[in-house]
Amino acid sequence: MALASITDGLAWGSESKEAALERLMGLHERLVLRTAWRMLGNREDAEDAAQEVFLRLYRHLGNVDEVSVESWLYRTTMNVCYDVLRRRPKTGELLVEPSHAPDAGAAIEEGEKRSLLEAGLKRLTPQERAAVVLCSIEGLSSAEAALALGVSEGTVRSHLSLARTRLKEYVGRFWR
Amino acid sequence: MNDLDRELDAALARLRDEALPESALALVRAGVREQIEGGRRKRIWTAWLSLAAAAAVAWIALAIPWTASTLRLASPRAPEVASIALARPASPMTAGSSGAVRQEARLKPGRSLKAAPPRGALSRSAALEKVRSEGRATPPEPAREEQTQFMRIITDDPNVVILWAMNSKGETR
Repeated sequence: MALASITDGLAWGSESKEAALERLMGLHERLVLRTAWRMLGNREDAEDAAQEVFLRLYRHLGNVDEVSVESWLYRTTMNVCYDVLRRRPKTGELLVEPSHAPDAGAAIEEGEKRSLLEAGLKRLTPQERAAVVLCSIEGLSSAEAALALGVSEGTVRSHLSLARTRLKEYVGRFWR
Repeated sequence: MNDLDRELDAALARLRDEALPESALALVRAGVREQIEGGRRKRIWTAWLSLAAAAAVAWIALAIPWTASTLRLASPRAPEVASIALARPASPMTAGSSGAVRQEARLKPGRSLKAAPPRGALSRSAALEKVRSEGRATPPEPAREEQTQFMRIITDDPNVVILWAMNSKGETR
């Protein structure tokens, strides 16, 4: 999915910074919070990250290109999430098996599938998770994801392929 | 692409369509507004403090020169030349001449240190010659008059009178 055209109503040169920020938050808060939530795996950290992203947007409002606000938000969200993950103490939480994992081979509910998928996402490295979040969940192309992550398209594709393989290995034990 | 791939893609796409709790979105908005407002308050305080600091610096910059000039008017500085000239020991060879130079310096209290001729500008013989010629031209100031006090002690014998002289240095005769 290509980045949505958001040129309508973004001429914030004529309005105050606060008003422009309010409007941009209304347009993009779901995108930012959802991306941060998938990257960080919990609500509190995602809320803090989303706040930080919009504060940075407020500070750089004059420098952000109107057409590429969405791309800028993805990139900033990823940077903030990387910072949070870097600061987060390594407790081994990401490698814990879900306590509610169903027995392999048994028919599983949709909610259980989702929980397993989220647990599988937590087991990926931040770079692999970013590739999955941007390309498979948010629907960006490799080029758009590469722009947001500040890496080459090849790197994005490599991370995505590796992440899908590991995810399939993990969820495949329960989904079949 | 096998079934697991398709199933994985579908599950990931469903994650995107999941509704986010409104309370989380409201918290984000409120947090952003609060931080912006706090930052604005902080900027206002910072501006006021900067203004006050600038005013204080300006006041000090004006007050110090004014105070210094007032003090200078109130107590004129003593001439420095005389004290410096006294501090320089005279060599035996030029004792008389340096004394003459010192006298000259003492006679001109307004003369500043910078105006004094540089040390060693003349050779010793030239300096001696110059001082001698100056000494001839302008006789040195007469030595301070020695005040001698006499005490007359009358004895029983009218022919014997003791005179006790004592000068200002405390020497007696």
